[in-house]
Amino acid sequence: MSERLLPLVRPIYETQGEIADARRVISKSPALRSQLEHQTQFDDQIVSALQTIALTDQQIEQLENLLVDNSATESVETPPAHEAVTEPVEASPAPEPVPLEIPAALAATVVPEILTHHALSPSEAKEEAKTEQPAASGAEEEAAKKEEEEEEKAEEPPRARTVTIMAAVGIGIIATIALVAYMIWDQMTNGFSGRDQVAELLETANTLNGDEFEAVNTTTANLKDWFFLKSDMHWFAVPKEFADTPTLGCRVSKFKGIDVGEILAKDDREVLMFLFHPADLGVKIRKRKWAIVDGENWEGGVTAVEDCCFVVAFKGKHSDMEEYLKKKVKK
Amino acid sequence: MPGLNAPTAYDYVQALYRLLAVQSGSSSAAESAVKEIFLEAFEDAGKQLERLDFDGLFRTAFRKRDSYPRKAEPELNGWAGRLHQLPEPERFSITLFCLEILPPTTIAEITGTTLDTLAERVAKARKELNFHLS
Repeated sequence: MSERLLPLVRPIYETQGEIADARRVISKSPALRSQLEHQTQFDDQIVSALQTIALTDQQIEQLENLLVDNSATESVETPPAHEAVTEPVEASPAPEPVPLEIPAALAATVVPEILTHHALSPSEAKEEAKTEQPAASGAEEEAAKKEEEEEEKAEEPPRARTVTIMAAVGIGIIATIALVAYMIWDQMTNGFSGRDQVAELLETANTLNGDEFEAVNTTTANLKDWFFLKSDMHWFAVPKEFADTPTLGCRVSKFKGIDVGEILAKDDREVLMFLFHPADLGVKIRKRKWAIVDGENWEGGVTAVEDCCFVVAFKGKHSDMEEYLKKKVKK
Repeated sequence: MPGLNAPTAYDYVQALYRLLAVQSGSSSAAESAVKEIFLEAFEDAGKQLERLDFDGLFRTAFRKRDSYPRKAEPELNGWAGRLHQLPEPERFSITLFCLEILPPTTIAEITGTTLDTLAERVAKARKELNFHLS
């Protein structure tokens, strides 16, 4: 029954009721799994192509204005002078023909105010209304408050004001120091140069389907000779935590003109490992230090061992990789 | 695995534009249609964006699907152009499916069918797009 829904299985829909059931059934059959993999790759091309079609910021703004104008025309409380300022949409010049294929990333950078307002839930909207309510309360209250404030100010000695100013400056300085310290700490714990190169390398895995690998059933630590024979990778090394990981296949690929060793392996989960000489890609990372790189689809755990940069990757979330590395390094 | 996040109004508008661009094969026609459909829904929601039925935008697009005949020379190229050449309801079904904005159950409901039939339509569309399982 669930197999019939195979055409509707995509990673993004896998949490949806019947699709989730179908995914479970499919995962038990290697033939269906392979069929699904091909299907997903095929659909990925369509998804990417569709994402390149986008309204420009200007067009979104026009739509926004249209909604504002549409609301304003019905508003009884809008003063006539304001109406005169608002240009009717029909009077505006017709939009120039805009090419359909616009980079989605560019279009998404500007999120219009009205069209993102929907992200507020009804309860949040109510809260906003509540906070506005007291501000609009009677003039008496305001006058009383002002009087109180003035009295307080009159009573406040000049020394107290100086103390307040000093305290504010002090808090500002502390906050700045904390921010700088955090940035340095972040750079020390998770930052390294060449992060972009690793992120790009991770994305090359999107096009892999497993057939590219030569079947090699051993453990990662035993692959030094294999890679040396294939591509003179004398610098090949794996972290000790991954030395006993059973391998399924290996290959040497070219990335930006350099040789990259790739290993398909499986222990707790199926992972892809990338090995390269760090200097070749301008990567500088401390030995034995792990950093996580978030690719678009893949998460990578990066470290350096001897003269080799080692990346272990899988599709998942940042937190999955954190947990995975924590478990691995503990072992 | 990533799941469907709550889309914003911006996401819905872009998705609607993409769908209509594929259906009409024209950027200007898609832009006009987005404005028309969005304004209609806005009016129906009493001009309150938070009350707007965003799924309903695609329901309207489906209702009007036959107003966009296939063009011999659409403005679109690549996959979008090939999608435009598909017959309805396969064109609507696979495009909305690949826009990843609505779950399949909602797509099935919008197109007035069951998940099984939607699966058949999407599979048929892939076949027509020359997708062969190896």
